[in-house]
Amino acid sequence: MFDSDISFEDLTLRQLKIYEPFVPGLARFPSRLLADTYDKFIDQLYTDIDKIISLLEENPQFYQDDPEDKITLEIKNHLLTMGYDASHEARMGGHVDLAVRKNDYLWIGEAKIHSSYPYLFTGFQQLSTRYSNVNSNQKDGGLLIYIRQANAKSVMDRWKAYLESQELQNYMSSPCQKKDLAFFSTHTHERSGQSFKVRHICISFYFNPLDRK
Amino acid sequence: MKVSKESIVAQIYEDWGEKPQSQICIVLLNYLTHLPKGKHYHITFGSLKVVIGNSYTNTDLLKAIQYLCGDRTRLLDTNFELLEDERAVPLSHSDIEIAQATGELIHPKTGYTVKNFEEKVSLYFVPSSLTENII
Repeated sequence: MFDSDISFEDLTLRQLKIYEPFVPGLARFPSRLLADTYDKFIDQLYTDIDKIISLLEENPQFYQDDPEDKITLEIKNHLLTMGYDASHEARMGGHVDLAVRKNDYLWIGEAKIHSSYPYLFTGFQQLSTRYSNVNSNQKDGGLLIYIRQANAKSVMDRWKAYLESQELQNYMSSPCQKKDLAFFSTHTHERSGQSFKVRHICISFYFNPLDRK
Repeated sequence: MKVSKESIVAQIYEDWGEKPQSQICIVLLNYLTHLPKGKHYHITFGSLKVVIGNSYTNTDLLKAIQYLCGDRTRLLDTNFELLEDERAVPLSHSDIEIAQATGELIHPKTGYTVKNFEEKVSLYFVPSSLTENII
């Protein structure tokens, strides 16, 4: 067996990469340790969330009936095993789906199974007006959109158009360089008056194998 | 701030459940809390492997190390060193950060570019400040 056959004393950067297929996130372990500013923390977190999402998307058949909370709990557990201080918190004005802390930094995420654009907007509003308290250590959030229907790109394009039509103060959107089916929005946070940046993240669980028919 | 060992154990079980990492993390927790305080340590992957014994694979241990170095249950801090010609040269976090961003590691003493640096840069661990506050 690969794993037990190799004996080594020193753990090098190369070995972290070799073991990445067996320990998801291990190759980026040093980057997580070195993320000592707010922006680096957010950037690294998004890289790791994307990795977790790609693992989940490999088996969409497992997520056809799960409620939002169960899927989000699985993402939280992956983050925990990577060393993130991730939780599902019954604080912050309600029950935030996913909170990730590093020192004084905080990122929060709200998860929704896509059923309609107004429903996604309730999630966006929860994130923006209920849970977030925008300051220099907490100015980003994420909307995790679980999509079980075909053509996730179309859903994300329509969601983006719907959001743009909501006349949020100083609203802007921009593409995400890390992930095609994600985008960023920024708008003025009502309570703080500061800019709040949200990453809208698509997780596609569409599963319809035609060979079964 | 003092933290009880029981609360850390409970958190480890909450996060890992019946997986081998629960046992590995608790063995390492016991090891770290029994080290004499106020000394400098240089804990390698190999020495942690010795601590946990032969019942677990490298993968099992790597998962546990990644977790114990993280913000959730930070029992270990990580340092880096360059191993060449049987000598170890300490590297700062910014040395590693620049190397990862540029793909080149500059030797902190000679100023030369280190070839194949990923094979020569090793991680080692030290007990975190939390371990000194466990009661």
